[in-house]
Amino acid sequence: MDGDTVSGAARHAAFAPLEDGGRAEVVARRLGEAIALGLLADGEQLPSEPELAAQLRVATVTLREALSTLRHDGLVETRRGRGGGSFARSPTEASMDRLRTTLRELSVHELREIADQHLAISGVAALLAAERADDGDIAALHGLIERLEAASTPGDRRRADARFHIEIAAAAQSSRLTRQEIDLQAEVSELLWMPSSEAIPHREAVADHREILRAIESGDTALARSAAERHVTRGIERLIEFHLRLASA
Amino acid sequence: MTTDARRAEIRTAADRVATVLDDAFAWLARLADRLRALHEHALSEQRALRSGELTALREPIFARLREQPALIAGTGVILAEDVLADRAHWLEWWQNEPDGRLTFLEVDHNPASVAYYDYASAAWFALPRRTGSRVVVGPYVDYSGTDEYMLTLAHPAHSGQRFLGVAATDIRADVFESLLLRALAGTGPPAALVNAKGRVVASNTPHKITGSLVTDAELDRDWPGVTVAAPGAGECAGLPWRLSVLRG
Repeated sequence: MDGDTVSGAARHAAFAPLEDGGRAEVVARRLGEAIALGLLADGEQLPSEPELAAQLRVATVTLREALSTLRHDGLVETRRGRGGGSFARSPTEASMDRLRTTLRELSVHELREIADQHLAISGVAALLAAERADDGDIAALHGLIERLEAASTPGDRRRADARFHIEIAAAAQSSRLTRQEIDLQAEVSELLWMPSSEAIPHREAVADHREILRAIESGDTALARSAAERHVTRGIERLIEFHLRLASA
Repeated sequence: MTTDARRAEIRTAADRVATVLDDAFAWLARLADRLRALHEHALSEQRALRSGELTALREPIFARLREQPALIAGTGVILAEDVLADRAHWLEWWQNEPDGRLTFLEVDHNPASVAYYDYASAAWFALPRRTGSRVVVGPYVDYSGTDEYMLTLAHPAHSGQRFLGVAATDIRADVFESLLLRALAGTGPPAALVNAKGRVVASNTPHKITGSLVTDAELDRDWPGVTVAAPGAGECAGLPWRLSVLRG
């Protein structure tokens, strides 16, 4: 695709100045998400480095570091010489088109409905787990956090993440909450862990899980509930943000 | 009711629970033995057992399920990965459905799949394999199998030193509740059947219900608990349970 054809609001959003700090990691995440979500089309040429750095209001050296990360992740290809530059490369995972379509077609209302139910289920499951989890449950949950931390593919991360939340409901000793948590995970986990556009970045998801488990382990029901609710809200808010970006593209 | 009468009542309730466990493990020992016999028969023909031959276990499995439709949610054998010639991951497992039918439990055998039924890491399989001992697991939410609140009893099957798998039974946790309530007068002191991890298996009080945890401080010291120990000979992980009176 010709570099000049995709533009408009989506492109504008992808290249808008960064307010949340000039770190390379943040730059890489912003651009990586835009590419993964298809807001920057496969093969689309990115602005030149000085130009893009100026648009994003980051130092050129920061942008270069971010581009290097994206090249490593296979989301950007850099060609040298005449006609060269940096080009977006869509993730090759077969599921991406389907997930983008799903996310675009879900309405904000539907996403909010999912969020409301998820808050009710995951919040109360964490509260009850803080009351009822035994040593075996706690050990299993620690194991699942380690599994998430070690997971490198979107599929492995999604499975470890979903399993952690399901295991909390099981530790709450509730068959019904567990069944509902399984249904909710089936509905959203793929969207939460889209390749290169994770709703909650991997490392932060691990930190969230640690915080929830600490509260469960110390038997602090109120804290367990609020930590679980924050985690759910955070994930869904990002999905709504992705949806809005896709819908307006 | 006199104190002595209440003690006798609690003792009777504990005995009922012990009888259920005894009976379940005695049956599992026989089922494990049938699996061993099938394996050794195949071995005598210088070949490995095939999954299709496990259908020979169906007749006793069906009889057992029909004998106790309320108590037993499911039963069968779960195989170690190197036993069957044609399957590395297999179970011959049948369930009692609410409408009285018996159904074969279909699980996902593909390790790459999200829904893969990873029984090798389940406590009721891993523990008998590692220690050679029987085990009682639960109560727990069996979300990868039946979706019910369950107790699983498992007995290892061996041929000589070789681990073949386990014979196991799923028992509905709410059945213990009704057993206990039938044995304890509702007017008696609050009592709870508590597993080795301190979790209530069944109780006669709304203040400590099934699934909740009990600490020693919550027990009435004037009423020594009655132990529900390992039935039959040999070790059994997950036991003893205790039937204890709670502080009022």
